[in-house]
Amino acid sequence: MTVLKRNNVTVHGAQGPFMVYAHGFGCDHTMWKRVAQQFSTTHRVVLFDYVGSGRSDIRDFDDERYGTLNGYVQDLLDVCDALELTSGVSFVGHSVSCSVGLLASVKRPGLFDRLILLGPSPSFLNHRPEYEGGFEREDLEGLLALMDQNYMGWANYLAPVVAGSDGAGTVSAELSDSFCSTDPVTARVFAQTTFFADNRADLQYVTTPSLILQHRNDALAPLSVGTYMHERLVGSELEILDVAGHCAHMTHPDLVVAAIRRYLASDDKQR
Amino acid sequence: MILVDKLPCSVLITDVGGTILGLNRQMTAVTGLDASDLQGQSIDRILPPASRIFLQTHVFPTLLRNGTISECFFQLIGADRQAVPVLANCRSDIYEGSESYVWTFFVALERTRFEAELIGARSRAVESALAVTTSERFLRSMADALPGLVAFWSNDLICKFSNRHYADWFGRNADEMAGVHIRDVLGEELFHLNDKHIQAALAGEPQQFERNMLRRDGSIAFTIAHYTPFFVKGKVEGFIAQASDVTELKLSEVALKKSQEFLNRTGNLAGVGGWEFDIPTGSLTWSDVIRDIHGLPAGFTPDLNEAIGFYTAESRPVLEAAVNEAFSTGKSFDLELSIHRVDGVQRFVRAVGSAEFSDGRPVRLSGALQDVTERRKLSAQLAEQHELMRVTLQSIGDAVITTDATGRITWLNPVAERMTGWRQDESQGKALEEIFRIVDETTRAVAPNPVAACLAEGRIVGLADHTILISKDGTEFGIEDSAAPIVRNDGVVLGVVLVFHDVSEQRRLSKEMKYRATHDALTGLKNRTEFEARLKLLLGKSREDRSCHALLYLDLDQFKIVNDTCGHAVGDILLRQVSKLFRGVVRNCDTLARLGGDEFGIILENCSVELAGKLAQRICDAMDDFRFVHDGRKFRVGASIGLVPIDARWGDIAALQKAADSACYAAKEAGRNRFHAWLETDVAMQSRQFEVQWTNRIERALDDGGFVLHAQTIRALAADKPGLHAELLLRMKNDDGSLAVPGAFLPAAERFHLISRIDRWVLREATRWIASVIVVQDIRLISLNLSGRSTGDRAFHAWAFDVLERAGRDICSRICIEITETEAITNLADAAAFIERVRSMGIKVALDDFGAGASSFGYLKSLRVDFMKIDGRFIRDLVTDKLNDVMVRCFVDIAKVVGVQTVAEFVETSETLDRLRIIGVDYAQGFLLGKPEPLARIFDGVPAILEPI
Repeated sequence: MTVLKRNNVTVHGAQGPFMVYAHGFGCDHTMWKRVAQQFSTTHRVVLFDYVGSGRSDIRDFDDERYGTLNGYVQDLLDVCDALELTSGVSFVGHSVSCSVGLLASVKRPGLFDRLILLGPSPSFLNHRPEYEGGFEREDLEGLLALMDQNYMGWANYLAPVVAGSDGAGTVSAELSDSFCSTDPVTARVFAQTTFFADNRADLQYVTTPSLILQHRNDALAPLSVGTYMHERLVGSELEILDVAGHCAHMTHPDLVVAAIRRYLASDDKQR
Repeated sequence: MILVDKLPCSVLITDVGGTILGLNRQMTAVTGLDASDLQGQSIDRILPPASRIFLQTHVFPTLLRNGTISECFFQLIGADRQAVPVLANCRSDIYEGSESYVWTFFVALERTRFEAELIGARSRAVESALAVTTSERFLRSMADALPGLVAFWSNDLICKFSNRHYADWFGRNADEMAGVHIRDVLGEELFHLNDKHIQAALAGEPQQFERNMLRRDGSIAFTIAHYTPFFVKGKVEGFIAQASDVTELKLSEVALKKSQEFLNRTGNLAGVGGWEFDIPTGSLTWSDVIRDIHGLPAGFTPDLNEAIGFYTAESRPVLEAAVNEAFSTGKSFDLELSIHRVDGVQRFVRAVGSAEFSDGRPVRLSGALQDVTERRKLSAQLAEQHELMRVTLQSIGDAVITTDATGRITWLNPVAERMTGWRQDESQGKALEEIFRIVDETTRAVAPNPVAACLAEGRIVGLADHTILISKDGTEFGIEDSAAPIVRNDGVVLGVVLVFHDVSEQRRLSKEMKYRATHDALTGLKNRTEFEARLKLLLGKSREDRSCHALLYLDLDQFKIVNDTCGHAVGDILLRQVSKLFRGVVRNCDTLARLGGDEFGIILENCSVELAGKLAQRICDAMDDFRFVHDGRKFRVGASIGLVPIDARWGDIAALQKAADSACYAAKEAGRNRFHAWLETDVAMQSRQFEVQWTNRIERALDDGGFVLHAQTIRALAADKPGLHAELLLRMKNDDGSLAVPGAFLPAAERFHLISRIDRWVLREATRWIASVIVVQDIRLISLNLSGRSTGDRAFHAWAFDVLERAGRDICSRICIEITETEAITNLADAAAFIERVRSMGIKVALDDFGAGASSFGYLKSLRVDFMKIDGRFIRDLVTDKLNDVMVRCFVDIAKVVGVQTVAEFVETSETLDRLRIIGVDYAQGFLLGKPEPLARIFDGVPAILEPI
């Protein structure tokens, strides 16, 4: 089993520097399609799924490894290693993957030239008074219960039990596309890891320049989170996208593409 | 919307970002909010936080990707603020021309409750399954963590469990062990060997046995096996087989035995004996070597008290303290102690030991003993020698650095520390170049490392000259050094010893000496010695290559006036200013020197007479513009310059200098502040040659009695004391027997620095003559002349005091010293001191030729004198020249004010004498009153008691 297969890695475009896209919780690499395709002529665009998400190989899922963000950081680094990337990479991450990218940049200095962070949050939990993540613990526990209930109703979860090993493949395949996040067990672990992580203390070790793209009305990350990160990330730029929701790359891909282009251009000029 | 409002489910329309565009009545019924509340708001408004996250992370991404979602479960915030569980469907559509989402919500209270039960049951099942898995994993992890082999065999001899080591040992995969028969695992042979133990274990008897087993690599392992029966309800269900590989233990036992024998053998050789004290039994074991050390026969075994008794009284408490500490802290000890052998001889021993503990209590004390008496003696001697060396090197005045054979520093003494600025501890191991930074004094280039050279050549190496050591803080020392190899007996070079000392002061002194030897201290110009040396070089050169150069001799005009009226110190200032002025005129390549007094010399290299003339004129022009200012007074000072070409015509520099001097004199004669270029046919020069001849004559006269003294009487105009009052006058014998007057030879004597010798001759002769007069009372006062030069010359003073003191006060009181003011007094302060001193001896002092020079009044003011001798010029025409009459009266008035008596010279007529008496002059002298006579005849016709005239 190679990492490329395990993480469902695809590379688009034949020339230019590498640009690695990492999806957020609840989704998979397909969310980046509309943004990534805009860069496939100038960059070699890398898309992948974390183990437990999308079309990754679920057999490699280990609740210990993926019980902390380090498991996802290692997935990202494994993907880069498999492609033999050592430097000059642009990282583009959404939501929890922003934290994954930041941690990977600290663990592997020199790999990334820049980090583009869409809708980042170092902690979804509130740590009042100094930090407003947006949620209390019981809110997040409610999410886990919601997930349990939703997946309960889905055939793909019950299929192995009901239909036995033979019929499962067909049912799963049919229904897996009905929801982005397909596996209830891995999704639960990913949810827990994502929403209870607190990476505020790690921000000070990041030296790679970054662009923080924030949604103006984001149910998941209040505006103050963007400011908080901007103040603590050395060499960071902050841009507010005039967008509601948490998925500008899907709802307003053109805005995101334009912001990334601007950042790349200004960055090139400085070099 | 009417139809929609009839629907029993909530309907909502939002844009793709989740902003509410419209809703039906049922929506208002569920949420308690109507269109006016919700339109334009985010859908988040009606969702509890968890549902908001779910919407963003699951629902929207799916919607955005697929355009539809169905049977999605989440919650709304109900009208009573309670969460209302709903099942939602949503589809994208076009609403009022834009892409939007149409949502329907079915309240699902019952279904949710039912599902929650199911989830609870499922969670519990998952948890207990997890617990079983966890405990299984725990057991396996523990069994795997054991170093030994563990397996469980059921009573039908089928493997139910084995740990990793067990499976590994028999070359099997741990996962594949379950279900395998024991015979298949052990193999036929081993199974046969163990069969009786297997049967016994199955019969309920625990088994323990040793077994040599073949490892997979073919080596033999010693193992100990345990078979423990496993009972369920009193019946043997199987047995647990456990085996440990004890090969290592067995091998180490053998090795221990070997090493003990080895220790004994080597201990004997090294004179090291072993001992052991077993605490529970109280038994003490000694090796033979220890018995030897104590002088005891083989086989003798002492008890503990006896053993301790061998130690001297000083050593015993030390040993006891160490043993106690070993027991309480487990610290081992290493001591040097002394013992008394059984024959009474004292020996030094090194005793080491340590305690062994069991359950925290000491059970055994063991150690070794070695006789170190000889070694100790040697090391004491060595230490003494070393200390002697160290103290020697610490206290010598030279700096010493030692290095190893690679040139790295091993030691430096305090002087070296001070000079390099590096401390011993921080310099150790550093390369010499780092500590001993040396450069060439002039080029500043890094000087070669003497140690490296010494190591390379294997011999003593001295330092290059003019080397400077730069210390850590930048201080520089001029040093001299030498580096010598430290060679072992067998010729191997162990290192280098570098010895150096500070010669900065020596170098500075020698530089200064060199400077002083070649420079004039006052003006900083070259001095006469250096000037003459250069002149000699240049003359030699011009004779070789026919090159032409020029020489200038300069003599300041009017310098003496400044010196005499303003003082010596001011004269010095003038000399410095003039020097500066000269320096500004001459070229850089020229040599400008002060030759002494107010005389200067300039050597102009590669310079024609014409060019030299221009330069000389430039100096005169500059002097013409120059005014020396002191105390508001301005002095005009000129320079008389003699110019001589330097070329092959001159035999030596003496001839050259003489010519320059003559030319200078000619310039002065010609009217001052001008230059005179020397010409071979120069008439002026001829007269100068005449003077040179005078010089020779003066010297001869001084040596051969060529001088004679005459005397001229001085008469009081009022009543006076009895005895001869006269002035001594000098005459020099001509070759033809005639006598020359001072005007003929004194200028030459002054010029060639012979005047002081003449003065000495006169003073000595005068005292000798006075002393020779049979009745000394016949002499009242004898005046004699001293030159201005001698008056200001300390060397002359010292000589004169000596002569006068030896002559005695009686003679001194009959001497009057006349000081002329026409000859400038070179040092007024010294002259004043001289006058004070001679007056204290009873000698009178007269100021001669008063009024002849500009500085007469100045002298009268600063010198304490007894007589003022009015210059003859005022007296000769006194009667005819009214001005002279006024002057003389004026002088007499002044003399009366300052309290000195007046003497008139050149009294030749009785009219003059009368006038002098009227004016009130005290004494008169002149042809009218008596011509100068040889001393032998001075008393002739002189009455014993002279009447006033």
